[in-house]
Amino acid sequence: MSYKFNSLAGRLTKSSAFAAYIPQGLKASPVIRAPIVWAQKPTTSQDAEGVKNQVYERQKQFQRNKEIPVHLRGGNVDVILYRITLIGCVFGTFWTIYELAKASFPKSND
Amino acid sequence: MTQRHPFHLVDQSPWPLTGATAALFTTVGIMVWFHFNTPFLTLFGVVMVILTMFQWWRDVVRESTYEGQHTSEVGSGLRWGMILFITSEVLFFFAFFWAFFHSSLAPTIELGTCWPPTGIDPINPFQVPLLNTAVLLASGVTVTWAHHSIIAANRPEAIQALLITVLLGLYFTALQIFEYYQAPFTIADAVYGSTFFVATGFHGLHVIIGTTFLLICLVRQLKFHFSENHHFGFEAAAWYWHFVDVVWLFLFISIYWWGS
Repeated sequence: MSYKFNSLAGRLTKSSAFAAYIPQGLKASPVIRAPIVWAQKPTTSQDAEGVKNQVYERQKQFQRNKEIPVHLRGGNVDVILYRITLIGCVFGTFWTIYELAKASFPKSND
Repeated sequence: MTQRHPFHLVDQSPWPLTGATAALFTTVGIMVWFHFNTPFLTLFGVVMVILTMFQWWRDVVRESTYEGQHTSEVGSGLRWGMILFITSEVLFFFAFFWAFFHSSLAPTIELGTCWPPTGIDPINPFQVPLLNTAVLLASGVTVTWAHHSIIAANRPEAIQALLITVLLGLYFTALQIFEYYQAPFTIADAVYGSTFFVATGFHGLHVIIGTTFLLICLVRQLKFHFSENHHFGFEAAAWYWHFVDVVWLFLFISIYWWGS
């Protein structure tokens, strides 16, 4: 918890860490910030046109399992795509080195 | 889960590394293409770049819409990032306009000291280019309509307006392809051809990028990702789209109209 002097209330009041480290002088200026959205149901959550709103379910899924990095938290498809990308990077590195090596020894024209 | 600060501490990510290697494949691939006339390493590099882009931005959507990491503080950083990115794009196009005016304001003796150069038959600006201007201006209107609809939580109109914007973007691209096929000069036709095709070509590339960005916004809108007070992904796409629109106005006035 951080505190700052609130000249309107005339005492120390609760504050965000960010606001507490910004000297405000004599002006009382409460810093209003949007709350961090942790698994809040979005306001436009009505299912429309037969399209199911899956945002809430996905929020629950992604705010669980925080020990898994976000690029793998979606399930098996994530792992497959990630592995394809990594294999492509390793394969391409060897291919690039091969092409550069080949280009470094041009055939002489005589 | 208690977090006592408004910042987003990102997870370890493989995408900067895969993106960097993919860029290496593409650049070395272009060298190989130029020297040995085989495009395969370039194409492979482009596929790897696209794979990286897809997964990286998919993760950004997860972090914002699903994890709720995009607080107002983080949003401010994203806004500044987009402002600086578009500023750098302005400077990129500034260079092409510089090249154009450098060549056209004092045409050299080799060009016949006139602009358009001797032997160049320019495109009539009041046919397809004027239509393109109208198409892009109309798409600027529809993207604003989409924005107002999102703010008003009017889902059907937001979808309609975004769809129309994307379709107008595709129509513009189709017209430009048609115009390139019909053009009576080529990129090899001296400095007129090179300034014309490099400037309008890079603009066309940006239209394609902007259309893709808006198409992703349409998909996200269909999947209920945007709320009436939290939709920066869409706003960034709209900023980018307006930028592309303004560049076209300068292209139309100086290269197509004044330059003909």
